[in-house]
Amino acid sequence: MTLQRKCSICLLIAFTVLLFSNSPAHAESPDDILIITNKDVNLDTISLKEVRSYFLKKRIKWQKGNNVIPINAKPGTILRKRFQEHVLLMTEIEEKTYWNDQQVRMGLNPPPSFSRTLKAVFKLRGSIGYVFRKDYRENVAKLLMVVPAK
Amino acid sequence: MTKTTTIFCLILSFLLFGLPVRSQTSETDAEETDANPPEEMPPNVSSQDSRLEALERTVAEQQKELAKQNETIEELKTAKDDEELDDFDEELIEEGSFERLIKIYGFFDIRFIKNIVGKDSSYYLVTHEPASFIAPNLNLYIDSQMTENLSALGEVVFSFLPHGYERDFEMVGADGQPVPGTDYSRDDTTVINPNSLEFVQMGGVRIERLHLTYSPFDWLQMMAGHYLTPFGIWNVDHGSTVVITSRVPYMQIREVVPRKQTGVQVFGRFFPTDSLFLDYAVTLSNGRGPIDAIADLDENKGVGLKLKMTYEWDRASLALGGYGYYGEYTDVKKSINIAPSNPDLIMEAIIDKTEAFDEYIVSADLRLTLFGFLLQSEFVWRYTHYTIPTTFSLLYQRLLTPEPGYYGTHYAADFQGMSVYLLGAWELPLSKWLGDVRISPYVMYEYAKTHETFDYQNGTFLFWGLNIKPSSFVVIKLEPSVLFPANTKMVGGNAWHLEAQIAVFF
Repeated sequence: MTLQRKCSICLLIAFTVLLFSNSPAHAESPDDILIITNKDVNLDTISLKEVRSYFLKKRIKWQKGNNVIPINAKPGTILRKRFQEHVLLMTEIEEKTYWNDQQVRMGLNPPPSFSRTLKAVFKLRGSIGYVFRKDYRENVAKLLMVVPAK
Repeated sequence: MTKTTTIFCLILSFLLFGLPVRSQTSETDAEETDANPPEEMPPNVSSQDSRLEALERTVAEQQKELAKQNETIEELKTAKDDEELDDFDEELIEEGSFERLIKIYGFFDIRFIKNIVGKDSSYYLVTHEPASFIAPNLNLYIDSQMTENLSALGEVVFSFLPHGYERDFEMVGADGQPVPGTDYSRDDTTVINPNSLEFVQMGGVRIERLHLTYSPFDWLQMMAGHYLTPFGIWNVDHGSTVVITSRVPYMQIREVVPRKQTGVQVFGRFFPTDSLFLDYAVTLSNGRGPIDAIADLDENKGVGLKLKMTYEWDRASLALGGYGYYGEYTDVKKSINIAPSNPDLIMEAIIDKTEAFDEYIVSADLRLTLFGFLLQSEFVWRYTHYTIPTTFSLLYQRLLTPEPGYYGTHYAADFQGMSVYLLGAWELPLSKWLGDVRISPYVMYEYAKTHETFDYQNGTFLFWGLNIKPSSFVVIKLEPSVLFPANTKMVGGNAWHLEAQIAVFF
C-alpha cells in the first residue's frame, strides 16, 4: 500500500469519526417508556428480557424472596400497546391468549392493571411498572431502564 | 498529494474551520455597524423608542401574570392529586384485594365427530359409529392467592359420564350362542325427580387437581395435594384451548406416565442468564394404584425427577426436558374372617395382594418455536415388572388367544412399552388480511407400542388439521385422523376419525 493511499484511508477514518462523534446521543422523548420499580426493590439496572420475564410471570420473586408485582397500564391504552409491542413482543391478542393458556396450565393469573401506573408502583411494595417519560416524576419511583420511543 | 487526499483535506477543513469563519463575519458586521453611530436621533426613532419601552413594560407585566397563573395551576394540581389519591387508594385496594379473592375460570369444548371403521369393527366397542355432537366436559378452576407465598388451586371436571358408559358386553361363541355369564350393560343414570316428576340424567364430577403451593423463592417452591405429573408438554398443557390438536396423543390415553399423582412436589426455576431457564421438580406420591388419589395400598412411594432447560430469543424458543419415575402398583382384595383363630378377636381382616408390579418410566420432550413455526415431540418408555401378576378379564383372554373356544387363564407378563410423537404446526402470516385471527395448519405422527405383548394397544396415528383462533377465548379445530393398528385382525382395519371442535375459555 503506497504512503498516499495510507494517508487517504487515515483521513477518511478521521472524517468518519469526527462526523459520528459530533452526532447527538439518543434525544429524550416524552414518549420514551421508563421501566420503574418501587423504591424498596433492590435493583439498580435491569435488562429488557428480565422485564419481560417479570411481566410474563416466568420470574415471580425478587432476590430477597418478596413477590414481584408487575403493574400493567390499562388495556387498550397507548402506553399498554407500546409496552406490549416493544417489551413483551406481543400483540394485545397474543398477550390475552398467553394468559388464558397460563391459567389453564397452572392457574397463573395476569398482572393487575391501573390507570396511573406511577402511583401504583409508588404505593405497592415489590412492584415493577412502566410509564411514559412525560408522566414520570423524580423521587416517586426508581428508574431502572428506558425503552426509547421508536 | 493525490486528488482524493486533497478533496478530503478540503472537506475536513471546511467542517473544522468553516463556522468560526462565519462567526467572525457576523461580528465583523456588528463591529462595522457600531463603528459609525449616527450623531443625532431622527424624530421617528424617538417615537419608536417609546413604543419599545411600552412594549417592554407590557411584556414584563404579562410575565408576572403568567408566573401567578403557573403558581395557581400548581396549587390546583396538588389539590387534585390529593383528591384523586383517595380514589386511587380505592382502586388500589380493589385491585390488590382482588389478588386475595377466589378466581373462577375454566374451559369446555363442543365436538362433532364421526368414526369410519370397517363394518362390525371391534373399535366400535369403545366408541360409536353414527356421527354425533358431544359436549364432553366442563373444566372449572378455582384459585386463590391467600398470602404472598401461599396459593391454592382446584380444577374440577363436570361430565355427563358415567351416563352412557358401556360397562360390559355379551360374548358370542363359535356356535353363535351367548357365552354364559356374559351380558351387555350400559350405565343409565336417569332418575325421576320426585318433586317435579322430570326425568333427569345425572352426571359426574371428578377432581382433576387440588393442591396447595408454598412459594418462598423462584428456585424453591413446594406443592402438596393431587397434582398433574410435571412431565412432557401435553400433560402440562392438557386443556383443549391450549393443545393444538383435537385428539389426545395415544401415550396420554394409555397413561404410559401417570397423568396425575397424590403427594408432594418440590420444584423451582433457576436463571443462569436472562434468556436461559432451568426447571426442576422432585415428586413423591402414592404412585400409581387403583385408588391412588385417596389411598396407597402399599408402603412404597412413587418418586420422580424432572429437569428442563428453556432458552428464549426474541421470536424463538427452545425447550428440552425429561422426567424419570419409579413406583410400585399394588391392588388388594379384602375379606372378613368371622371365625378368627385369635380368641381375643371377634373378626379380623384378611388382605390379599391380587396384583403388584414395579414400573420404571422415562420421558423426554422437545419444543421449538421459531417465527410462527412450532416443532414439538415427546418420547415415553416404560418397563413393567410383575411381582404378583394379574389374570386378564375374559375379554382380554379371548383377545390374547386366537384359538376359538379356548378360555384358559392368562397371567400378565413383564413388558416394555413406548410411544413417540412428532407435531409440526405453522401459524400462517395472514395478519395483514385477517387481523387478529390466527390460523395454524398442523400435522402429527405418533408411533405407539405401549404394550409389547398386547398388540391391541399398539398402532400408528396420523392427525392433521387446522387450528383457528378467531379470538383469545375461542379455538376452532378441524381434524381428520387415522389409526393404523398394529394388529388389524383385532380392530378390523384402519380407523378413521373426523372431528370438528370448538374449545372455549371463559
